Amino acid sequence: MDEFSGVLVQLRKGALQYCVLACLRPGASYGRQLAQQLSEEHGLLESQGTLYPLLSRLRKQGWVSTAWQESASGPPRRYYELTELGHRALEAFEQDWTPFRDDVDAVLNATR
Amino acid sequence: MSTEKSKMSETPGQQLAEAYLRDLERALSGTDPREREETLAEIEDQLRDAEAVDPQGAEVRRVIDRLGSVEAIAAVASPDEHGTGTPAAVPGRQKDWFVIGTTILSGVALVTTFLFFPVAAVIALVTFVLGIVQLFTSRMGKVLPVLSIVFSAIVLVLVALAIIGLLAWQETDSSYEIIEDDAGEVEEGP
Repeated sequence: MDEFSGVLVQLRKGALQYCVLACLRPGASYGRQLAQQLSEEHGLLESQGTLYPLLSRLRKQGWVSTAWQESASGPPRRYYELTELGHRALEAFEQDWTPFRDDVDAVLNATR
Repeated sequence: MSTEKSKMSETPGQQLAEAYLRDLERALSGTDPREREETLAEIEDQLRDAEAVDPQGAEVRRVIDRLGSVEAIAAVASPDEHGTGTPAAVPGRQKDWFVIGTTILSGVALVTTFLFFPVAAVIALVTFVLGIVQLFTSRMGKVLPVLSIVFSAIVLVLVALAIIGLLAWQETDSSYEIIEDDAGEVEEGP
């Protein structure tokens, strides 16, 4: 069983950054909120801490921007927001992802 | 103010948070500096919030459980070499070649010992010092720096033995001259 456990890790690795972008599409969000959304609502993050290096990379790529905002219930938080480039990257991923997923499903179903 | 700070640092929550941050910083060494800095800042903020909620540490513990192991976080961080994305920013790689070069040079010193030991001594002295520095700073592990140190040490010992041998030989040679002189005086005396 162990030799196959890495499949999900690899699939997540490629898709997670686009899921982060998708979570930011409705509006800006802060790290903890994103981590909870991805791990508790969607089960895409095993360790919430692994989100932060990814957020840093997305910022470096120019796909998200950050800004400090006052919080009603605590210290100011760093909010992440999708940039125009990030929007375009997400759209490009969506265009590729749907036919790719359909192709994989088709192969799996046809050979059952 | 400082008394207040030191009191805070004594709470179990603070201790737990600081231990986790220390471990995380260590685990992230060798990763892209900007990613490291931003990751540490985000996680530190969460832990400080948790400390404020419960200084006894239960909330900090819950946050740490959610964050996951420091190894898991470090595993998804970008390595330092490729982090900045610019070809000029590869200090780690340059340092690696420096380590390899030092080891090769110490090997050259070892070979040169048997040809011209004063040059070998100078090279070995340099590579010995570099080897010690690289032992603590190299990103390539400790094997090459240890090799540099061993090669250089062998050269330095051989050179030291050669110098001692030369000095001893000179001393013996000069004492023969004294004996010869003494012998000459005896012969010429009567």
